[in-house]
Amino acid sequence: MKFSYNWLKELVQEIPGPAETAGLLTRHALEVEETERNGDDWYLDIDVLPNRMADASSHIGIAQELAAILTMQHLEWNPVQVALPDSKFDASSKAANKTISVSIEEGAACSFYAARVVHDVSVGESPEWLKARLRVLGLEPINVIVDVANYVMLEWGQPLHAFDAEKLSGGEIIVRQAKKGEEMPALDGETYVLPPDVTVIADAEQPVAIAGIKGGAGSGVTEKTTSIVLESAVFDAQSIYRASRVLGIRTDASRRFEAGRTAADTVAALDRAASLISELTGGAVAEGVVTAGSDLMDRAAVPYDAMAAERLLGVAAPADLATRALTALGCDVEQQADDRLAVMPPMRRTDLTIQEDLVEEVGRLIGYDVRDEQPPQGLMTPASLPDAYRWADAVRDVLASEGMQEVMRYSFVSEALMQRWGMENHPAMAEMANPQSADYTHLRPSLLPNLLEMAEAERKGRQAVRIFELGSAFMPKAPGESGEYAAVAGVLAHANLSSPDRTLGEHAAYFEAKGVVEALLESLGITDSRFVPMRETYGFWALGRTAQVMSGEVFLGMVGELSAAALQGHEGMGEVAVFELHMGRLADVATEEHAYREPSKYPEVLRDVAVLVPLDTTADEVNRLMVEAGPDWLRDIDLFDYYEGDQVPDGMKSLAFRLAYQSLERTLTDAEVNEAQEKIETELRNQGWEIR
Amino acid sequence: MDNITTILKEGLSAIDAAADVKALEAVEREYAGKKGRLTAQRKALKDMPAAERRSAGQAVQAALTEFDEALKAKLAKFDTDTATAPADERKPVDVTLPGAGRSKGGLHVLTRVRREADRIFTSMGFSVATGPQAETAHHNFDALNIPADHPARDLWDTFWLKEEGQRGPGSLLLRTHTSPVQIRFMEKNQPPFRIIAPGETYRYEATDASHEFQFMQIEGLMVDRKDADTPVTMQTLLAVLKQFFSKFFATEAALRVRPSYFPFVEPGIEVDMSCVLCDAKGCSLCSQTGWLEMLGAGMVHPNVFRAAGYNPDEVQGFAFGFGVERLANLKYGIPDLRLYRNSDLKFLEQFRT
Repeated sequence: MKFSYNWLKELVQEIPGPAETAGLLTRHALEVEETERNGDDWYLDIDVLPNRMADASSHIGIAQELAAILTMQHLEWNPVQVALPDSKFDASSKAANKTISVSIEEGAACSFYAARVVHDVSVGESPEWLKARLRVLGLEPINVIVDVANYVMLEWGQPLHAFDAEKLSGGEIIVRQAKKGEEMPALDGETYVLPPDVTVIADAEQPVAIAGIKGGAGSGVTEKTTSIVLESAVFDAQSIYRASRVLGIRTDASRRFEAGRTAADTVAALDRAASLISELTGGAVAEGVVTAGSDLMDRAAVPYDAMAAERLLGVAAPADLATRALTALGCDVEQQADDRLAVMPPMRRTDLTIQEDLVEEVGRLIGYDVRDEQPPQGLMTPASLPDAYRWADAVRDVLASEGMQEVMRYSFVSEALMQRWGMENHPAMAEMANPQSADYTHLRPSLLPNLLEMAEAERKGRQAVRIFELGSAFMPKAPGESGEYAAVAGVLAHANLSSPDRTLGEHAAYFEAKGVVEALLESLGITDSRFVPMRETYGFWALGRTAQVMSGEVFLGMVGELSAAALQGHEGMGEVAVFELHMGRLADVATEEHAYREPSKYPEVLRDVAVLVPLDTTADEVNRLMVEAGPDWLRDIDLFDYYEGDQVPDGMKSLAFRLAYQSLERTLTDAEVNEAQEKIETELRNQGWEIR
Repeated sequence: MDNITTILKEGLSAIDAAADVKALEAVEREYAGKKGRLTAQRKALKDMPAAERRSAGQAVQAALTEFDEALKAKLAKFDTDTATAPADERKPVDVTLPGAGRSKGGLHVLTRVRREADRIFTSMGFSVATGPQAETAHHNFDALNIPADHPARDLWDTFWLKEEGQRGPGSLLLRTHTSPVQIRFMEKNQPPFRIIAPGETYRYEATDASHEFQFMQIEGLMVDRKDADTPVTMQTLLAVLKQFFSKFFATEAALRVRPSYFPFVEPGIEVDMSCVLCDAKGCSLCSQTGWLEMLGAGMVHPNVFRAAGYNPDEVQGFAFGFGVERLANLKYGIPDLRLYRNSDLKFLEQFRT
């Protein structure tokens, strides 16, 4: 929000130059984002945050801050004062309440309404000084009445509104809730349909303004206007906030009211405007302020305990210093004990309600110095990381060491993106109410679509792409759920002809991906994992080329190739394999598995077996048969050769396994190993398979 | 002529007697060097009468040749004695070709920066806490003293999940800061504690070089009893932050504190750090101010303690939150926030070492 340096200087003569003034405000009150020269003046762009919007969004408000800051810079108590502007005028003998009556109806969001009447105005352009000042602050001059209303808002922070007195039907101002279906053409040319809980200013017939937000077209001041009614009121903050959102209108007035204006300056601002209008237009201010409601407010003293303040700030903030700071800010301070004060904040400061609020005021006016005396103390407990967090970082390290690059993608997808990768029938996606753009309409149910998109783009410039991501994905099962879960996913893609490893045949990408997953499981200590062929079509995964990754009966995720359908249009990708695992389940299983297992002291005996099985029998099935048939000292089984082709009958493949026998308790004899091996081979033969 | 025969004879026995290459070289110098005895014989030829010169010349030349051959033979003997490997007849390799093996993987630069922050904070006794990215309005706003229908809530432009009916405290949104983890942690733990909460956060806004709708934050929270021997004060907060920035940027960071407003702290402050590039002298990175805006912080608001089920009369503590991208920007001189989540591998691969 822009402020004029010259104007501030008129209010507080003692302020230093523009840059130094900006520095003082930034260090002690509100951040000045920019200071810039504008003709003979400078404007200060001050970031007035919501807690100070009600009282400090005006030149007098900022001047009060500056006065307090300068006061605290004095060694002696010598308060710097704000020179409030002159609001004098000679009231005419005609009484205002002969022209207008004001009432507030039940339910209206208005606690106090004050009006003055000015007769015999001539509505023309404002004088140059007034126009210049508005322009420095970014407002366009309109006519002298509107300009004065704006000027006084910038000065006092109180939004004002001017009506043409002759256009107010019945000479009445009624503050009430809008009636069902009521409409109002506004000064901006739009006609607004008013919801019933919006408060309006109405005359005897119809709404003439939306309370605290916008004036109506019909009752506005024009060049022909000769008598005006000036409004200065207090509207309820929450109601204005809601109404402005419902109607989609935000104005300088609504921004101030929704932050909580009080009746502290309602009449002062009204008088100032009447005085200026009288001076600039020759108008006659009618006798009296016509009011409705009350300008009183329930207020309570706030305690200040110097010990508590010191405990919070870590530096002394004694009662005498606090008294000076709080008095400089306009509080009434009563000392109750050596280090205890009872503080009545000024009415305008609705943000000061608890002791901590006062500690902040004192702290900032004294100045927050950084002292190097208070590093954290107390019992040192060792820092800990959640299991899932620790395992996630372990997974990142494994994948990076497996030659994969970590990437981070947005958490959003669009239906078009899902469709592009064959995932259009995804069962559940969380939809955004206000998407950032058409590309980001839903939360990603899987990390893979965005990874595939990136991999495809990268493959244009590289032979091989290996990327992974860890992050949240979202699969809601019911409305009102996000279905958030932690996932880890990877994409491996490379040119068809330059596979880095041809020994595994034409599905090198798949076996690379599976190798990465195996390395990942191994480094998490997950020893009981299995890869179970996917039996039913699911999403973009290729039936017959996809495995479910299981640990015992826990489904950890999938590794596989993309279906032919999903790959359509992405031929440039070459060979592609992907994996996606539930990070949370991985962490759970990893945490359970990480128990110490004693290595055996006794020698290990190795035996090989090669078996011919039908093509659709998996290595895993054979493996499990052997485990079941074998003794509990069959420690490990490794597949070391796989063959299909000329050397074996059609429809068959050859699998060769190395079995490691080792007992934790004794040295095994040849005889018992032979017996065990024979039992396993018999079991395989019982399946109708040939042992070679 | 006797002379030359004698010299040759002595030379040959000297070669025979030489025990190593060094000794052999000495023999060569003595007989065939510039001032060697055989060399001298050849130089003497030019003073001989022409009649004798021819035959004497032949004899000198023959002696030199014989000496030389004997020398070479002896040298070759040394070589075969010392060389153990036979000559390698396999095909040579172009040793300058690129090395084999697949390319190295790597971590995302934000993971690196986040881990460095984790490392520094855990070394100061801060544990890590986490929470969901899809949060309730209650945890993201209400419990953090940011009521509905209050302009304070507009400080955070929010992504909402689509739902039926009116928005309430149970409505889901994408968390606009990591601060809801404060509430989730305090709901289940009792002071004293010190935690950080790193994680993804979201703001509903358009992107440019300095704005991104998805980014990473680290929240900090340290709470103890008010009557602890050394309560957690704003100075404790500043000491922790100063330590952190000094360690992270490997420099002696100076801090500057300004008043600010965040509804979940009171007093609320913003903390600037002396510019890492110009040492607070003023440069383009710090817009000539000498200071870099780093984070928002403050003392936890009593209403936040209340919402988490604590008695605010008994406990106090500090909270802070900062952007991980901001740290990465400053540490690596990265100019554009969009590079982190919307860039290519060439950018990411720069941060592998």
